[in-house]
Amino acid sequence: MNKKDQIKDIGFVLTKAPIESSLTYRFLCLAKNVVDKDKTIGLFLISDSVWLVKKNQNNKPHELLKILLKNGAEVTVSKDHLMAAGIDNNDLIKGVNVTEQPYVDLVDHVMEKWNKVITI
Amino acid sequence: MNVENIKPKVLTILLIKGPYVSEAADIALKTALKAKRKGYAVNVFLYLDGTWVSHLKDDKSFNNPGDWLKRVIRKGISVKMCERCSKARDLTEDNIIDNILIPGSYEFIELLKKSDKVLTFGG
Repeated sequence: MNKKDQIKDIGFVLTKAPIESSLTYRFLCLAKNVVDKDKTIGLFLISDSVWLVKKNQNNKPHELLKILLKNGAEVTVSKDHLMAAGIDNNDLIKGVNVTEQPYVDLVDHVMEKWNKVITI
Repeated sequence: MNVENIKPKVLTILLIKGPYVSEAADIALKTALKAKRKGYAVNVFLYLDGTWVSHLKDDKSFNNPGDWLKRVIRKGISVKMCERCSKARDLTEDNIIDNILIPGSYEFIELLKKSDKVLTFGG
């Protein structure tokens, strides 16, 4: 089975911007704790959370996301929301998957690719 | 095995934020529609300020989560909203979109028990 197609233990759906509140950071800390317990995770970024993948940021949630990516987290980002924010492919950190069908893919991840799901 | 006897997986979507304050209502309802289209059984439960979406009955010249909610109902997705939350906001069957049930929040617990996955939007 392709590594990308493997079912993840827990999926995280993020809707909030990196420093909109402390929620995003705490949510990513939770994701890191899951990874530290040798579980596999996926993250789905939609709405304002897509700002997390814009490169050259200086904030803790962004740094934590990069650590999660290095540790095997699968990160999927809504293209619609990237475009709405004026973020193009050249602005993205490496290793994220951009989806042109965010709602179809969100449903697919939630129902078929993740064993459990948490949202903010 | 008879394919007709295979029950579809159940997705329940809990919306707890009102319209026009964030994108939560739009995302919740668009996700519900896509899930239904992909063959899943879908429930939408409006809770706390999420109940306000039911009040968007009239047409608008701009994006209208009320239209998305009507579309969700037309597609056969079950939409329920919390009785206490509705009462607190003076939302009744007379001033909300048709075909939304207003049970107690115990009903939400029943939905949770029957669901394969639950998504919460607006937290």
